[in-house]
Amino acid sequence: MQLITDTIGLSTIVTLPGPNLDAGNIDEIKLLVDPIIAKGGTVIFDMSELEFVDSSGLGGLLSCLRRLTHFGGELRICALTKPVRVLFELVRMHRVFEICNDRAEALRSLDKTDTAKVA
Amino acid sequence: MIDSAAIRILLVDDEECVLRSLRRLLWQEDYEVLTTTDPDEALQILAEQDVAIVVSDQRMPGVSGVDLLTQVAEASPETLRIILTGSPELETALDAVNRGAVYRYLLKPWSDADLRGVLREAAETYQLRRKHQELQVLTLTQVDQLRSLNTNLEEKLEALRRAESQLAVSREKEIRLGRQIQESLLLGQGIDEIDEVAFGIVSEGAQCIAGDFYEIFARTDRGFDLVLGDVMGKGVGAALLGAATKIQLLSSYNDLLTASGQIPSPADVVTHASCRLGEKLAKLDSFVTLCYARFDLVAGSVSVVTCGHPPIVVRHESGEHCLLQGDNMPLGVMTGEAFVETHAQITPGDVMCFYSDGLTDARRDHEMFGERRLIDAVQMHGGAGAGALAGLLREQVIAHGGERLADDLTCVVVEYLGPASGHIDLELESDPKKLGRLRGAAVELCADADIVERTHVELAVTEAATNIMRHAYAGRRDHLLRLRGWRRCQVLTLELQHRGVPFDGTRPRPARSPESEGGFGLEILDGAVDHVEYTTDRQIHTVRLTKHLNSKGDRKCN
Repeated sequence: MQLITDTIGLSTIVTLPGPNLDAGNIDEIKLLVDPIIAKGGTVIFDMSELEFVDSSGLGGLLSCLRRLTHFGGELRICALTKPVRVLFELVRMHRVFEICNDRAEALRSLDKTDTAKVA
Repeated sequence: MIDSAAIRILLVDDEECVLRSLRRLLWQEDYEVLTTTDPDEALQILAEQDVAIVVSDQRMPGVSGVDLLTQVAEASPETLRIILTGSPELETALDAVNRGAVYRYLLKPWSDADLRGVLREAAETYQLRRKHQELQVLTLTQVDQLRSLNTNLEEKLEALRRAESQLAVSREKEIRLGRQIQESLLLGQGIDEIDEVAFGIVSEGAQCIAGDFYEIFARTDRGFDLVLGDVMGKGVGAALLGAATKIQLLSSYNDLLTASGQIPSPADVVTHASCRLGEKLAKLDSFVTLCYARFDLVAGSVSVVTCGHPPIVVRHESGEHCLLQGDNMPLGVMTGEAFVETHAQITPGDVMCFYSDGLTDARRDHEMFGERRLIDAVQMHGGAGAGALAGLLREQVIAHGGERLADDLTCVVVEYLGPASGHIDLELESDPKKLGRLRGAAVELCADADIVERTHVELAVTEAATNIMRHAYAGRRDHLLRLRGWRRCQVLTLELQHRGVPFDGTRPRPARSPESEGGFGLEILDGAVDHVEYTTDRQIHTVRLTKHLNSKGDRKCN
């Protein structure tokens, strides 16, 4: 399995492969994502291909958020499908992650943060 | 004002003529006059009688007037003492005054008017002193009496407090006893074990125990009987009568069954029980309202005998409602009455609310919760399932009437789910990569629900299966996991079975902190389904998930 990544400006956009992010594949996905997280910087997870995320997948996402923040980076997640949003709302994780509707909104929100940091 | 009648005057002089002269002087006064020429006799008189005033000559053979009066002062301190002397000597006068022995010092010859005046004044003084003394004695006596009364009062208050305390303990005992009777004898046991029916129970005891009771019994292949009743009155007596009524109904059912070999009709059971209980209830000046219902799940019908009891609120799956009510009298009001049944058809998805009047009579000030509010709640929330409706009714009634209920609040919601349909049964390896297949199978059973509920089902089955793989099989992927599932109307049941190490996900667990990356599984399970149950039977461990699908689309239950 390979990750599709795009680099726009300083941000890396990672399209998480679908349709599931669960106990069955979370270890595999983590191995692919870890090197990107280790670089720090700003990362956007595009979730549009994911139709299901379970507690293991959620734990993996939280781990990425925590490590990226530790390295001084930032994480946005965008394009959540309805079932994935249901999970986030069920365990109130929509309050923990910065969730954007799409990539453009995620990039704009990171720009604003950068501007604020420069100012 | 002098009450001279009470005044006794003793005149002491060694000269008889002086005594006579004084007698004459006082003859017209209302004094009792005693005379003596002998000072010893004077002291003797004093010892025997109350004397107000002693008038003594100063010069007498053997003893002086001052000496005599000094002895008088010792013997009778309240007696006023007057010296009458023919030889005024300063020394004698000073001696008399210094020894405190005399009230007045008078000279012979005396002026009649002066002497009368002095005696009157002395009599007044004496009387005032006596009055003062009497008042003092009276005051002391009354103080003593008050003190005694106060002590008595305190003792009585203490006794009252003790009695009240004992009474409170007795009341507490009675309430506890009543509660025990209610829990062990009056309230239904194992009420949630009928496949095609879901129950929701509200059973809130009043401050003082009342006699509400309910029971599910007479289970057959076709269905079951439900009885819910309310005994007039409160306290342990009402609770015992409730227990007696319930036992009589069970006994009547069995007697009739044994006698005829046929399952007796609800009307026959109630009529039989009424014959047995009616007169006893009347003698006890009590009566019982009840509702006896027979659910025939094969025929899809319910037969009801209501005896002076509130109607049953029925909500059909379509959302329409109706009331089931008979016009039989309560048990104990009339003897020999034949009870009549009411019949209704039920279809899967129908919800029936049986209750005692403690529910509708719950008051805020003078306003009762009422039947209208109950019907509205059943109509509006009946689709949410029996348990949810019962919980909501309890909340609404307590919000209306407060926590301190005046009467028992008893309600049994019966939701007819109908026969199970859409069974799934598959066995998979304990490999997380198989989770997708489990989800796919589970979601087939709720394809008519909305995406939120479908996702909840997928999440729940995934988390339950993952827990089994992790905890029961310790991550080994070569074991087996079985998923069984079915639908009864809106209620979806999923069972995940394994033969690994049993674990209990219901045990208390530490709160997950916002920083933690794990521990979501059980939280997701709790939020995604209505009920999670862990059981073991013959080495097979089962995690059972139950969810009421509120968003179920147009698909009819039947």
